[in-house]
Amino acid sequence: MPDHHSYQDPFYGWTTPKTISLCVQKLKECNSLPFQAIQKLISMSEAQILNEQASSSSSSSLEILMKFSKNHSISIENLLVIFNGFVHVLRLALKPPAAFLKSDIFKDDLRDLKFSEQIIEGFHNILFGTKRDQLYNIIQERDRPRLPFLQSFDWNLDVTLTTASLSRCIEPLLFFQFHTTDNRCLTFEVPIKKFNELRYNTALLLKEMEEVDGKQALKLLET
Amino acid sequence: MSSSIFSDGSSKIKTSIQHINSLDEAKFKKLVQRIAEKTGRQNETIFTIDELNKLENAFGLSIDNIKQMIESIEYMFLQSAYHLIKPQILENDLINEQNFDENKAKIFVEQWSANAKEIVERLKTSHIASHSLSDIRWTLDVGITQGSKSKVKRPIAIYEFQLKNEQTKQIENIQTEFNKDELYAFFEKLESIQSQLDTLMT
Repeated sequence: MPDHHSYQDPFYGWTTPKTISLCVQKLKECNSLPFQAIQKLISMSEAQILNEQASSSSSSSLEILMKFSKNHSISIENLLVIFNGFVHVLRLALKPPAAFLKSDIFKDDLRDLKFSEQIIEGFHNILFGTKRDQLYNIIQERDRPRLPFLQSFDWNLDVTLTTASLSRCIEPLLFFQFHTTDNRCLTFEVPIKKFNELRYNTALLLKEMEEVDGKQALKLLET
Repeated sequence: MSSSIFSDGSSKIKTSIQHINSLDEAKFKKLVQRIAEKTGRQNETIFTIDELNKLENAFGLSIDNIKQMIESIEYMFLQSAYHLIKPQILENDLINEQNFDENKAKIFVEQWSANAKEIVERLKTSHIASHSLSDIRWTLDVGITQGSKSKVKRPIAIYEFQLKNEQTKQIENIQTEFNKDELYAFFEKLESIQSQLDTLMT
């Protein structure tokens, strides 16, 4: 079996990132830290990626780190370095497309980084475990810049019967209300002609989107 | 007077009608034609100051009288549009109730018949909402890589809705993005609106 190093770069890049090498170093120094605590740190790093934005979880993870620091008399800085290293490993592993990360190659790479077997097992369970799809989804959808998108879209179709200028009118009147994610509430009238244009363009866009998968240039991105 | 559709006009109309009756017919025809083209447009004046001065010379009337006359003719068009009046009835009204000169009445009714559809259309589509959708632009982008993930293939539709503020005529650009699922949901909503429109129109 050819060594995978000849055809695939390790998941962490060409050189060992400083974060990870520091983490491994600290782990060696703090060998008084029981594996249970390490296990807890690993699961906390998974939680860190999943709930990046919820402030409650980050303060509680800091509290947990403080508790460990007291119980096992290890300085909080060292614990932070270790925790940071774990989160970094997870992020790097999630970066390439899901199909690229093979179980044994991943474990091999982690061994090259000098992590202990138990820790490697812990990482492996996270990345190939139950929350795998959720993790990949969050990394792709949440952690990128986004323009505001529509949170809700309400519409009103009224019929104008009479106006100040016409006694018999019978004209449809369309109103839209957009709530966008940047907290704007836009209420506006849509003339029927514009509505038809909008509908036509949306159908056209959907067709183009379907065709994106078939475009030659993008076949290079097949994962 | 009570059966005329112009019965809520004031005495200004009466004096204007007197001036109208004294006008040369060809000039009157052109005047009415011009007013018919512009009736119902929002925020547009029918004649500029220069044109009003020229009319003053052409008709031999003071600017105030001319303005009054133009307003009266416009008012008559708007009232006709309001009631969607038939040409024959309009002609009778003008001649019998409003003391219009017969030829002038014929000219007026002719212009009304020719332009009625457009005037009503313009009045129908005039907006009173504060904002209306004036234009839609879009692009389809495909995200291929990002900071948190190398190699993605993510088509994204970016819409730019141009909203026009009716008072200030200012255009506000609203940019939103849609991924595939969101775009489908949006399209489904548009389809349901269309089906409602269809049932309404039948």
